[in-house]
Amino acid sequence: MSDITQGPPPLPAPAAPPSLPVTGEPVAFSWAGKTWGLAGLGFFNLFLTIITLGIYHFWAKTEVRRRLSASIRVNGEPLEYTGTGKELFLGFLIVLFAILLPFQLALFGANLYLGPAGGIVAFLILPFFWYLYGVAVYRARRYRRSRLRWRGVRGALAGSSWSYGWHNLWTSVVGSMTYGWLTPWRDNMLHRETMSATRFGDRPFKYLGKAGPLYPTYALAWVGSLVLLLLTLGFAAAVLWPASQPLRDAIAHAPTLDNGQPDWKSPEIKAHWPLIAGLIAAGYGFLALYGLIASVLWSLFYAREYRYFTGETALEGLRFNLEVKGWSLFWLFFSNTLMSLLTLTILSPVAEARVARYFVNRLSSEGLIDFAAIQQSQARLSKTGEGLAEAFDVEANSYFILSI
Amino acid sequence: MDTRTYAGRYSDGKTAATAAVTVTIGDGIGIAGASGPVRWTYQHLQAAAPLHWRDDEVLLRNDEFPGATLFIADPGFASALLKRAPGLSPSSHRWRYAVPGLLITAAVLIGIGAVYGLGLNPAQDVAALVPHKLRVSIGEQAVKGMIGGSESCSSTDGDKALAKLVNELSKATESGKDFNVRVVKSAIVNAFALPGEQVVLYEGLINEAQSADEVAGVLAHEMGHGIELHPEAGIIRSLGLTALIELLASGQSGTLTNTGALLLELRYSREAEHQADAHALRILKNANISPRPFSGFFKRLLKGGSSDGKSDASVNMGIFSTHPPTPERAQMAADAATYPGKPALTDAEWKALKAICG
Repeated sequence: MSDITQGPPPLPAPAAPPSLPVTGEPVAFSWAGKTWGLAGLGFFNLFLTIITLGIYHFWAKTEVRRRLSASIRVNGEPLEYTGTGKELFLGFLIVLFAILLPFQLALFGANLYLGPAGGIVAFLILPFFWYLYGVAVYRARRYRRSRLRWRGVRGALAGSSWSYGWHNLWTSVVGSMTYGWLTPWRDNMLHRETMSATRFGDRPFKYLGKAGPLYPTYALAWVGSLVLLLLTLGFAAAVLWPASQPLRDAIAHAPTLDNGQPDWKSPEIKAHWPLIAGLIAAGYGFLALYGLIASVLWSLFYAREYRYFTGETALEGLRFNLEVKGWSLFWLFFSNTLMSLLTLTILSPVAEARVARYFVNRLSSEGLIDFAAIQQSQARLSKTGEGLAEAFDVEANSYFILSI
Repeated sequence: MDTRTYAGRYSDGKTAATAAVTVTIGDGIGIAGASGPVRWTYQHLQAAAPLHWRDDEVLLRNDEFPGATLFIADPGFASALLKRAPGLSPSSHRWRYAVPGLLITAAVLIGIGAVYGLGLNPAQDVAALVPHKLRVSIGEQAVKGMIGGSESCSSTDGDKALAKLVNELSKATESGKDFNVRVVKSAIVNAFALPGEQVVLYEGLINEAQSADEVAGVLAHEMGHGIELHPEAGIIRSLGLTALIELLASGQSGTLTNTGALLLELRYSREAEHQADAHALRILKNANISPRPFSGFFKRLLKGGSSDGKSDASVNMGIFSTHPPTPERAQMAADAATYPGKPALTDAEWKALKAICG
């Protein structure tokens, strides 16, 4: 049941600067969808995708997006996703024939004519493809934003995918040279580029954030996971080294082969194969434990990023707020990964819905916005969508709500 | 006649503002609001999501009024609307969705079936379109790639003998094509046809053969592949398959092939082998060389032994993997031995050819 209110009467605010909106309404977000109800869709999508040899994938994706969008309510009214599977399919075909196939031919030719030196061509083309990856991300966002509507008014992403691609590439290269310390700065810069080019109708979003506030949490996660790694290695060594004593004794006394190596197939060592298996399993166990705890640490940083990015975003008179905490974010993604794995991705629409619900429930805004002043977007709509992104597998593991 | 009215919010899509309206279901959807009544007909109606009769809220659009939306948050509306506009229900939505998918699958399956059933060979047709110079260039590169580090064999007398054999057979193909045969120093018992009328003949095969006529049969067979453009078609088919796999995996495979490995792994289909065999027998007949030794060569390989005790590995890795000899092929060659023929090379020339690799 929706409860749409008209905005409060115009505020008497003689002291307010003239640029503040004096008419408008507040905005509330809510999630009105079923999550587990999408299980049927997941099964249906998988079934059709298999019998159409994969071609249905584009329509399956579209249907999931459509349902998710319809469940997101702004002031009680739903978002609409107007993209079609055909657009995604055509986009992919275009990229397949215009980029992938020529690239294959070029690589084939290089291999043929230059022999092993032909590998150089692949090496040279790599930065170009890295660049294209960034372009793909931007174009995919543009497609999704232009296909989302609320009250019939479309979103849009202005700006240049080519310049975003370049920014993405060079910050990535430099970032890899800094052991990741450039990441908060990079994330902030790319987010600003994307967010300030985003429009609702004809009105732009504003992003006011800087990289500085992100660094403390980043440092915590970075240093924390390093310390954790050292601790894990130390602990593992302290436990596994003594435990492997019988094995090492056996190796020292085992017969050696002609090449000086111990004979791994000899009965002395064979007797310890359970121990070897146990040591390997324990090793993986320690690594998994490290991975798990490190993920929690990094979730603290990602939660900080989401909170900060959202908190520094404005649209007309609105400011936004996202109450995301690291631990609950970690649990969300972790449980989703388990769910998807265990059900062979049949439940991935449910995973998508859980993530969407999580974020929408934590999203709120303050301030007022005058909807009558927001005009329909005049941006040209592209007829095809996300071909590059599909070809590059962009954000394949990213949830729709996070990659809008 | 449904006289119930429902409360809704209408947005004309020009701005993000909405107005409160009353909605009736009758001959189309009637929308009564501040700016005058509007009627939306059922055939132009679209729902943002398929309607279930239990839905509490409905969002409608109309393709006659792009951008306009009508939002009704009234529980009874969905079921009332579905009675008049059943096309908005999930089942018809699913049907509309599934039909294109199934049609595409059917088309793809029919296409594949037609290619196999009618014996169409699109790869071969495409191969024929490639200019000759390009095919030769690709072939020469492919030879380099395939030979790798092994040396080409050459000796004065051996070269002369080989040239005589190759010219005789080339003329006998009646194809106007000039074949270029290279002997490579390796124990592999095999020969390959590569694009652009290139043929690679391994020393191992020459050593395994007991007469020049056997080698002639193998060369004629490889020339048969070349005449039918099998090597070129194979490459095109493989590239096409990779592209197809990319499409089906929706861009998630991202595989790129290595040419050398690709060409070595080309397994000719039985159809292609049959065509090459037919050409081989025809060429041998035109050159007046008996196919009986060629048949004997197959039979020997089938028995699994090699005539001079070389290990089976080189035999297996070679001719068995890419040109599986079958009793049928051996028999077909034997059946064609209806004429005595004359030896392809003199004894001296055969000796020279055997010694071509020093």
